[in-house]
Amino acid sequence: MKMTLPAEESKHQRTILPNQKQVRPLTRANKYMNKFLVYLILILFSLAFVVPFLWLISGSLKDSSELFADPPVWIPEVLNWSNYKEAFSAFPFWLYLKNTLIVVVFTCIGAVLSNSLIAYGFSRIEWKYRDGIFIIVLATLMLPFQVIMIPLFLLFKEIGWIGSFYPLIVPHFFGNAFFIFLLRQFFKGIPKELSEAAKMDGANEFTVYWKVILPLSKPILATVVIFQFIEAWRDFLGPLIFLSDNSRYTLSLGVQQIMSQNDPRWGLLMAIGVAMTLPIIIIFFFLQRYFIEGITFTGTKG
Amino acid sequence: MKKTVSMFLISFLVIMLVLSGCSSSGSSSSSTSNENSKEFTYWYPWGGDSEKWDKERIADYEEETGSKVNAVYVPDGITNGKLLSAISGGNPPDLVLGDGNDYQLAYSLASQGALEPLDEYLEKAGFDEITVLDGFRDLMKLPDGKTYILPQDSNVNLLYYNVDMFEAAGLDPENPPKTIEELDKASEKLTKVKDDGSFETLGFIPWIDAGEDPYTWPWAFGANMYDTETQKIALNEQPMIDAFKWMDSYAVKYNPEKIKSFTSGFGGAFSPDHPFMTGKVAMTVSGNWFANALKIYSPDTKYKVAPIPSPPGGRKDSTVFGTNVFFIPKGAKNPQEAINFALYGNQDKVLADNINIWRSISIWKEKSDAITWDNDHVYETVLNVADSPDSGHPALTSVASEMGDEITSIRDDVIYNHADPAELLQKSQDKLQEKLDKK
Repeated sequence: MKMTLPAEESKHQRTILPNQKQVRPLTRANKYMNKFLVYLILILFSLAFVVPFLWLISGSLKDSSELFADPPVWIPEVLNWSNYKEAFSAFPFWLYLKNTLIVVVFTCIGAVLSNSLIAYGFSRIEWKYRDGIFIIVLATLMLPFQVIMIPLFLLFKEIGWIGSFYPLIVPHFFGNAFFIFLLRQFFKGIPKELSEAAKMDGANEFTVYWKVILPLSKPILATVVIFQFIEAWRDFLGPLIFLSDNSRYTLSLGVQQIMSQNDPRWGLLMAIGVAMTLPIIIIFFFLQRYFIEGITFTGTKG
Repeated sequence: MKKTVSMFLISFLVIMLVLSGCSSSGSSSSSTSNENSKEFTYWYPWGGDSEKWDKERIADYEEETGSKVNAVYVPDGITNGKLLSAISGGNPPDLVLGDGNDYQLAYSLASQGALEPLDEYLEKAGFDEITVLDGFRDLMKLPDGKTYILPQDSNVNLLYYNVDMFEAAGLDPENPPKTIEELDKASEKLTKVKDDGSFETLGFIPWIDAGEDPYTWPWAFGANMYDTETQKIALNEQPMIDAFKWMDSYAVKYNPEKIKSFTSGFGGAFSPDHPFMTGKVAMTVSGNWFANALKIYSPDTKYKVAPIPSPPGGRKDSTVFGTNVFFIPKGAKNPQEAINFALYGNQDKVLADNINIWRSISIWKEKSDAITWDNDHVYETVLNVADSPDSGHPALTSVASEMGDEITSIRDDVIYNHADPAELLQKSQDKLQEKLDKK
């Protein structure tokens, strides 16, 4: 680092004329000012997103009188950890967590494998009616879950899958229009020459997909994993409809289970809210670098 | 290349294999129970303490009878489509407990033939309908005379009023308003406006708390809304118009936008920010359970309760019930066991733990000693209101939720735009009738 800095500076100096030298401190100050402004704006915007989460954390540590105190209390006088203890015992938390993780992990694997393969076919192989069929695939995005819920239920009932995790996992091994679209856009941006070179060396389409395209697509695959993770993590209706035994329920159902008929128990809800949000934040931090890259590359917003 | 493909296939198979390990070895849905077994599936709608209480009830029942209850927590079971999927899939539970907001849906399921008639099973279990409070009859039976719904317990609405504020305004807390006219007069005396025109306190807002429920005021004013026998919707009726015009009189007097900004910071019934707890509103209409919310979040508020005021010709001392209902979907495998449990579960002594906290009511005329609200002013009023022949369950039709939406939107149009209710009601009535005829 130290070696490159002076070199860069001297390079910089060469372009500056002697009579402009006095202005340099000012431009530097300007630069800092600009940076400061940019950071300030970014911090303000990020606050808008962070504050509700901080409020959730602080709320999860309060007793009910502090929770609704006016003016609001940000840091509770006594940290009320019992909310967590109670929330975790209000329903079988660890069992539901295990169930959720099973669903999340397998749906993520399914989403990555199936969608990338399908998107490869839609982007890097030329075939008749390709774009027309792609539009039909995209059209499935417009079907809300409520519309296909009962037909799906009947189908899974016929196969004998109701009550198991299959209805929640297996469909993800058969593609999802949104992910196909996302991956297709990314694959289209990879130079054709790479595939051609591989094919010259005797690779067939599957090898190109597996050995050339997939390794280049880590950012977008990470994006798919994050999206799929969030979707499966917070899915409420799917587990509710297809599972028929409490011992197989997932966390999103557990959150609801905290509420009594008459009393929503805010403190416990907030504690479980924190516990539910943390894994999403952790996985985002791990995959953040790829995620941003994947999104900007395809020009898709999350 | 072949190697890669086979690797891919193998990994896929491994995943499927692991998955099958995760899948159930035998799902515990009703398909496992048969007619002679003492096993049945029961869906209950609540978590938290309500769930804990229900599990205790189930454990006691299993111990007493040797039955096996497959209890499944199904939040909003009727509304979210799970029940419909299960019925159409031929895999319904044996017994469903519906939340107090959903009884109309349960009734409409019955009228569409999705529920099992209960009479045969009730008779075998020794049930006698004479012992049930009159207000529940309308809900239990379809016009064909068959029973489809067995209430578990119920909640009523009352007028809560602040004793200190009554005294400060020169009103007699022992003599709360009984008619709409008296309510208006009291409200006027209790309302305080600041110099800048904003409110310090409001005596009464008709459309908050239980007043927000579309059926509360039309019911008190005497509207019928729907005739279960002729299956005719009747919204454009004088009592209905009167109810809306009365609400509009508050809007004209106090400017609903101003009320909106005054009420926008209000907390829900389970927060100490509730306007009745903070003293921003002197009277409000709410459920019997609100007394316990007051005890928890605002123990210092001095309050009393009274039946909801009604105009002459309206339903005096009445309430719209919030009834939790048991029912059996068509195709259930073990209805007799299910009914036996439901009749065990809606006894006073089994419900006592709940009733002794929330002041809810059982459906029985005779009250048991297990209930400890002796000489409790609120509970006495609850019982009086529940006993009233005018209390009941409005809009028992398959278009109940649409009707609720229509009434709410007409109300908003009336109080914010001072629209003419009669015209809007007629339009909604025609629209709903058409929808109903198509079903």
